[in-house]
Amino acid sequence: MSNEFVFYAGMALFLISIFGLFASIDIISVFISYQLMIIAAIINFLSFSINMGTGQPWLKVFLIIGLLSIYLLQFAIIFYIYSNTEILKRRAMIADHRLFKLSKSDWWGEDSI
Amino acid sequence: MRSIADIIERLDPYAAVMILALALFITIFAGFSKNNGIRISIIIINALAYIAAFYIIIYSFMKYGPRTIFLANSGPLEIILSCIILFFGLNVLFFISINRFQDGSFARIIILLTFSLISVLSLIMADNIIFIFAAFVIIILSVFTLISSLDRESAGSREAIGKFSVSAFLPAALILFGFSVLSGTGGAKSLSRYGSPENAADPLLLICAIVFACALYLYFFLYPFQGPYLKMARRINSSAVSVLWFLYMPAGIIMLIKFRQIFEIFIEKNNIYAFIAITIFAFLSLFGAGAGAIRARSLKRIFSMFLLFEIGTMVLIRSIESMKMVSGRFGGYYDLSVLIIMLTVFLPMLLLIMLIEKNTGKDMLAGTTGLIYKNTYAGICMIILFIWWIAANIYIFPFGEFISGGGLTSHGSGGIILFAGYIAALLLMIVNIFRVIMVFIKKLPEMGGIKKYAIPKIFYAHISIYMLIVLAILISVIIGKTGIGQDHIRIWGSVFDIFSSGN
Repeated sequence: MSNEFVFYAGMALFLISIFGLFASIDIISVFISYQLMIIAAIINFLSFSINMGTGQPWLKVFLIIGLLSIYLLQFAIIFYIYSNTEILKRRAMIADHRLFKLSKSDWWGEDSI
Repeated sequence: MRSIADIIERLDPYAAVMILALALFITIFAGFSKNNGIRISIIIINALAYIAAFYIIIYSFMKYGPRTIFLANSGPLEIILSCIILFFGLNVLFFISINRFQDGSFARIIILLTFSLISVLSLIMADNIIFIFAAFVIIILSVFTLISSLDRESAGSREAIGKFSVSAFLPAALILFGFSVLSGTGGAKSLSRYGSPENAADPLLLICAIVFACALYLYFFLYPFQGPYLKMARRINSSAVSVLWFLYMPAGIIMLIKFRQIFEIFIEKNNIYAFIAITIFAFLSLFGAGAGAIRARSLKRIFSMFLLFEIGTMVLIRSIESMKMVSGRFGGYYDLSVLIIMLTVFLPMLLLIMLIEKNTGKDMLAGTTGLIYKNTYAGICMIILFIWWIAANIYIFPFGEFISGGGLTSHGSGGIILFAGYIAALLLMIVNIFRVIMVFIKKLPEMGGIKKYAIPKIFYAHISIYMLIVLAILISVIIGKTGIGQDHIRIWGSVFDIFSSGN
């Protein structure tokens, strides 16, 4: 499999994840889209690490440290959402979590608390 | 003393981080103590640690000069940024101390604050892309945990923090993807190696420059993605807002400065479509922030939009740079100017918001009605700070170099459109500022029975410091303008040199 093909596959996954972020309504779909983006990054890292011919062990180190830190952040966010909201509100939040929701109050006027 | 100097030399440029880590370690022993004496000692230890770190950073640089040691780099730019961040940290510590002193988990909050500062300092010094990415993600994590620890009262704020954090995860994921693409462009571990003109022809580098630009745009929550940021800023308490404004936002500005070599590809490409896209997003942010603040009644919301305006001007600078209307170093200079504006204007303003909130129970603009009659000194200081802000936006003008070069018309119709657009956005922002000033000087009908706001004496000391800084800058500029003094912005001149030397 050529390096180019692998890169295109990674880019396709990345674009699908971007589409997923814009189209998703619930929080689960948002996190799945994030996973696709991270997988696209992993594919690129491994592909460049193998096919560049120089070995590049630091790319593998980057991959390990990068994934550790990003999954730590993700774990913290999910833990916060699930531990700090009541059951009913949690359901409401999961059901309506558009990442790029355009509401009038964000542009004009006051936010209703 | 010699042994201390040896230790500092061995640890440099990590000496400041080590001092903060030591303060963090000592603070851990305070645990969940409810003893006021222990809490005061925590504040003193951490404040002293920040001041010591500030001193050691400058001392090391003066003694050993610029250094590049194991993943880190400490040049003049890093020193300036570190000092600004430590000063922000000291102020955030002050805000948290006056607002959350009685909180059951006060020690935990201070630990998280010091940890956030350590990660921001690490990001400033980081030269290796692994270190940069890890520090960046840890900053988002620590700021998120700090904000969530500072505000646990209302369900509305917790929901807003949750949505903010999910949105803040996206820049981290995008930057990971950007670095994965960057790894295919040559395998250099330092970002400074990617700034050469021959790299500009690499399509992979263009892809990762676009991904990084999008990631930082989303990180700052610029228009039209401002929703989670504005909602959270409105709902959380003032001490959490201080973390958002003075740790989260400056960390983004630091990332923008770090990526300047990558973004130079837009300057090399000189592409009209890139210019149009960046300009549209810049004006969307500028006019969106200006128009959004007109109807807002909450002070936190109004000032959050003002901050978005300032960051929007940084995007506008990139658009001017992409068409080579100003030199590439101007963007970095302007980013530092925005940090200085945040330091001199937003810090005292947030303290005012905090006090209004304590006195009236809300942070509404109406609560400041007649401030100048209730607390004359505070009111006058605030008005002077507002006027300084307008002056700073005009003097540290994005188009300063733009005009002083070959004149305004030398850049063609594109230059005139950019200039006119920025002036219109600035006028909109000035209208907003005067709206706030008018509320301050609005006379109340029953002036006789007006109760003064309970403002602690420390507030007057705090605001007086900023007043003196602002007046000193204004006077030096006026003297320089009238020809009495020479090189009135000598400091900024040296900043220009930092960026032009490609450090």
